[in-house]
Amino acid sequence: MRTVLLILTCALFAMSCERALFEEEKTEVSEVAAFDYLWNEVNDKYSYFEVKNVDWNAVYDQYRPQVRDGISQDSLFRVMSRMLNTLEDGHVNLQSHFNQSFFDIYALGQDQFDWRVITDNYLPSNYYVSGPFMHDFVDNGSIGYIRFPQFGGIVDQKNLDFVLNRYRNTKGLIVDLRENGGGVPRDMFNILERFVPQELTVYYTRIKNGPEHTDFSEKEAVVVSPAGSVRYTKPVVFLIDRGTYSAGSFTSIAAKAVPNITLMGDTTGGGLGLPNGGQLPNGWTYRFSVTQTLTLDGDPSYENGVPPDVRVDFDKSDLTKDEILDAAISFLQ
Amino acid sequence: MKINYLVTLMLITTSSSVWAWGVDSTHKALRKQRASYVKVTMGLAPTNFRDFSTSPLVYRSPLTFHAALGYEREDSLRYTFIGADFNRGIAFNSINNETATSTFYRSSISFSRLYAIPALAIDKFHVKVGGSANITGNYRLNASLGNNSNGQEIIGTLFASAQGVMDISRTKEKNKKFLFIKYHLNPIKRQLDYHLNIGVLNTNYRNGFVYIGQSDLTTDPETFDGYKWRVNGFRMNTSLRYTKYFSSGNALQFSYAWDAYFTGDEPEKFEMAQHVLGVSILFNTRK
Repeated sequence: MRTVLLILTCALFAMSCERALFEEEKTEVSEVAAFDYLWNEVNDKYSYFEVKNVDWNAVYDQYRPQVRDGISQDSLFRVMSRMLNTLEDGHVNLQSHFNQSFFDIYALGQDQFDWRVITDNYLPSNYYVSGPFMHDFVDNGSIGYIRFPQFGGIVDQKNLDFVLNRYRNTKGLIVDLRENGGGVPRDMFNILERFVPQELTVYYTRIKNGPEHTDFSEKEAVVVSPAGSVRYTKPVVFLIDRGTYSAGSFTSIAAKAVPNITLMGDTTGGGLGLPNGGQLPNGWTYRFSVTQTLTLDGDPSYENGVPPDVRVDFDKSDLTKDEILDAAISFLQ
Repeated sequence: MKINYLVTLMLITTSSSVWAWGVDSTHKALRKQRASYVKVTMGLAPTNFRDFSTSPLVYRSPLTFHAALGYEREDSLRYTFIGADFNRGIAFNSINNETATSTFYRSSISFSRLYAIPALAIDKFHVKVGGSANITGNYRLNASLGNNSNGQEIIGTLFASAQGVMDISRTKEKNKKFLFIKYHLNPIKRQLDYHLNIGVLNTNYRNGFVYIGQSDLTTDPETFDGYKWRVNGFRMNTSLRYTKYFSSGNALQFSYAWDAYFTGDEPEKFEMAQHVLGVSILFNTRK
């Protein structure tokens, strides 16, 4: 019996070691601790301090005094949101059950897109919808127009085959990426593979690998190779604006490296850092950029927006025409 | 003289052969007698974990499903086990009116070999020591973590192991009475054992500094993007088992196992603990 008791005692002793092995769990978190946690996470892992020219210590000095334990959750949220928005990055968000912070990339420039103007004045009423692509002929059938509103991860090879085959005899193709807020990067490669004439390095990427603001991995070349049974190597124009963001900007920076693609419209909204995701001690969640995308000559500044090759502005005073689309049609004629 | 030498040599050789044959046959006989079982286990495995790379909060899953399959050979001299288990649960964290859930899967394969220490055998109690190896893979899905919603790691550990085994068999028939109810108890073989594993080589295959990798931005996405093998952290597990053997040679086992591990601070600590309440059926393969 004594041995049985000994075994049971040993068992209970060992099984109670969990608290000793693990770090202490905090069930109540102060507002100051939540603020400091977020500031530290961004300080260690955010990838664009230098490009954005942000002094993060100065940001701490500015916003930390606005937080004290016991302030309302809404006040804490607003202070932390303002702190994050100093980064001017659409990939930076704070989220709680009552609010979500964001940086408004559309406010960086004027509105350059109105889908109704295009459907009313350029496309037939029964324009085609092939998966994520809305498309038809414009300019009396000489040019193909494809509206791609979102990188939803549903770009399908059959859709692409159909679309590109339909416009194979046109003079050129317009791919409208305005107000395309991004999504799944894989879609970008599925599209670009149809346009590149040969294997091309289109941009470089590197990722934070240490807590210093300059700690990055070696840059990695992103290479796109021709693929797909139907390809289009005639001139192509990508329409972009400030609403072209994230995967839209990745597509734009890549397009700079493709000789038969021209970017037209306004500078994109940026968003060239892949955002992570995490949770604060108070349960709120956040995300911010942790990678840098570099041009072929190693410049990370396109995070602030990929500039068009041809700058054209939309005139909202005349809603019978889209000046950017008109410019693209003229360019391809 | 020469004949004597040869005879002596023959006798030594013969006796050595006989001795060697004797040892070999004893080992073979023991091996044949050693009970072996296919073990099927089902149970509940309350689990908690914390991945500091994405959150300082602990996620708990009280109703984790646990299933295991193993092969066990055991007698008073040696214990061998090889097996695999699978766990699935939905873990929650709720704090400050915010709730997040993480669906997780955990599976592992393990191997143990222990040998009896005769000096530590007392009456019906004996101790075995040896080593164990375990590889555990975790996968978690927590949508609230955005691009870091997929969490995965591999934990590989070599353990120093010890097992205390107590034979608590009833060797004689007994007639008992509870209040006015008389009942009869037959002899039965039973065993209580306690198993302790202490990690001596703790390795893990975990994420890079910012958790997510950058391969999704390339044409060559990787599952374990930026992952590295690291030697750090600590793992420990214990189990307490009660086994009741039937006349058929099969057995029923009730167990409580506890497993806990944490990785080192690079890149950031990961902690996980699991408490498994299991019921096992052991099918005797040597009937």
